Amino acid sequence: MTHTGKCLCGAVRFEATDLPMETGACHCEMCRRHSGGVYFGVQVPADNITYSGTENIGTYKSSEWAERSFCKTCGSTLYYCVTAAGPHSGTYHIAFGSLDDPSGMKMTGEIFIDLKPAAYAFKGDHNTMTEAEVMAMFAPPPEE
Amino acid sequence: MANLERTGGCVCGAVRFTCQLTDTGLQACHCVQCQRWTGGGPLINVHVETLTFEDESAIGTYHASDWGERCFCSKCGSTLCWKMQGKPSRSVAVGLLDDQTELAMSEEIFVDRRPDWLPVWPAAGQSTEAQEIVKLQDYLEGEKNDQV
Repeated sequence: MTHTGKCLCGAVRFEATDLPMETGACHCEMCRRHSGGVYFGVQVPADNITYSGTENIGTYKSSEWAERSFCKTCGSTLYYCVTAAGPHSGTYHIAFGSLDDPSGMKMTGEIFIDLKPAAYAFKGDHNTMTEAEVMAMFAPPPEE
Repeated sequence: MANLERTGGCVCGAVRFTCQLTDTGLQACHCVQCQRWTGGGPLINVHVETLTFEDESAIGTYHASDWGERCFCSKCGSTLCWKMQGKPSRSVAVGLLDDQTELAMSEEIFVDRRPDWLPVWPAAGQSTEAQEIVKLQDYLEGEKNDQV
């Protein structure tokens, strides 16, 4: 199944195949500031997504392991992408809000839950991970 | 008494500001444009009496309508604020604040566009898209009359 999407002004568009039908919220400080509140990502392997209007994509390297992208024309949040080598390299976490048709998608998780401001919360049963749990999951394997 | 003097900034730090909050309430906008712009969730705003940027040179703007202006950091893409064109900002995205304590949801707008997984905040005012359009038209009509 193919999903299409775009930013608010339409300068950046994409086609993605075989999306997992789930989204998750990230409450880390960088996602909070970048999205303006809460970031909802949908995980997509690099081979499964094609962007057009790429000259309009602005990129900001927010850490040693990832970059964040936005539309240079309208400022829409586009994706978080892992740049570091390893099993997650090249994985996109595209902005849920950029999908044209998110029907059938479910919210299944919240990460950096210990950093979530008390002012808001989401309903339903889903997995949560603390900052320490997330960092442990993405930590490089110990050197032998 | 909550501290209403707050500071904030974007991810890369090119945009930094100080602001005086109007109160400790948050407003969540569930409109389709805000969902697409922020990347998913509602745009959650704090209302501000004053918003003073240290340096405005990195602020990018986009007009998705004839009246609204969306401001973002042109260096890192962080969402900054929605405002009326030609007017000072009356709100800023809550995620930018360095200190988000002592805030609580007080108003939700475009609630008929809210996705399934978000709860209704019980104490928050609820306003539909149709109700917001009426308010907007009243505002725009008032502005037109002021100019005559």
